[in-house]
Amino acid sequence: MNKLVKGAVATAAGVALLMGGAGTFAYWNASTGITGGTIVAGQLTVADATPSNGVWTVQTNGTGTGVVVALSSYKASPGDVLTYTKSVKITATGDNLTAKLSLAPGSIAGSTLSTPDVSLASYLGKTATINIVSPPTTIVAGAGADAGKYLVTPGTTGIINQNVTVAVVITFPKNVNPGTTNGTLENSTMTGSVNLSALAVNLDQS
Amino acid sequence: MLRALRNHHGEPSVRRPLFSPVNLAKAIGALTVAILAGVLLSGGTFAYMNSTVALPSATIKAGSAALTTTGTPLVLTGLYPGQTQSAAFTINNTGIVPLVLNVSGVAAPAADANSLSAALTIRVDVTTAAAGCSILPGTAGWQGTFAATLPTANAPVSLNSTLAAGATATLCLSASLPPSAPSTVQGGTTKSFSVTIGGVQS
Repeated sequence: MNKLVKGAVATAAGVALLMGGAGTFAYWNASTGITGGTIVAGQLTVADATPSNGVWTVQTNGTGTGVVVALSSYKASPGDVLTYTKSVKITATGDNLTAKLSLAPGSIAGSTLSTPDVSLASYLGKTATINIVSPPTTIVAGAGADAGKYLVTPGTTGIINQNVTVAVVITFPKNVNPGTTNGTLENSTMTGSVNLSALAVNLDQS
Repeated sequence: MLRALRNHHGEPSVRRPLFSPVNLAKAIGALTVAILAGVLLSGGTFAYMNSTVALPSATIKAGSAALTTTGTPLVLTGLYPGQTQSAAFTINNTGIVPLVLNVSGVAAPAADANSLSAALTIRVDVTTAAAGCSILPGTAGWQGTFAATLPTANAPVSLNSTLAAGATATLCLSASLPPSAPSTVQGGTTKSFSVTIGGVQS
């Protein structure tokens, strides 16, 4: 038996003694049971409330009423504000639970590695935000370091299957660098295509 | 402490103490590695409670902005002081956004005799009038001379005309010799100057 094995066996034996040697070694001893309570863990889920009820709208230059569009055939241009509106169902229980609702990072990626696709993804990704339309009092918009997120505080009442309307807002910036060569920087996005296949809403305990 | 013993062949053998510092250190090291590996390999996430809902996939496509021009180059023949000659071009917005047209570059003539170009005034207009370029607007879209500071890509001069997506307009490129032109430009020639028309999304 080599030294390492011997050492390990000895140490394991020592640990076993320490772990298994619970209790007292006094001669006299006594014990009493304590009636345990019931511990119930909270819950934190966000789920699709009504599948297929999502809708894309576009506001030209970010103003006016959004016009419903079929995104598959729509060609975006700088100034467009694209909004995807969808209902989700939130359950958050836990007396001391707090959570943050946010847009999953990296949800917008170029369809290919071509320059227009990558450039468009960069432009759109910088401005993608999430809004909750008419949120309940237990869900409030974050500020400062939590800007762009929503703080969920269920309290003792809890949030049970609360339907909220989530709006994912993607702005196509316009005139980011006014005065440059005829908008050369934004020209790099022409004919670009981005994939939103990984678009998701996260709800994380904070 | 070493102690001489006899093995089954009756030969002396050496036995090292079981709990030597070296053995203990090795054992503790091995145990630590084992515990760490057990914790790290136990799988799952160590995050707090969390949940994610995926939204349906979608693709956003960007359009484009583009201008094309068609027409016959301006040829100046027999130009004299006080006269203006023009050439008409058709400009087409082939993109998906309206564009405010501008002059974003003027290239000086490749050849110039008798310094004619220095005396010329160049003018660019956008018109939708039926008369085309035969009657120029009262106020020029842009005009200048080769001797002055010319528009560049970084300093375009707006023509104050917006061309809708898919629309066309008539672009007039004119050259004139002012009445005060010096007589030294007589018989002069100017060749191959060009004007670049740009468009910025409105």
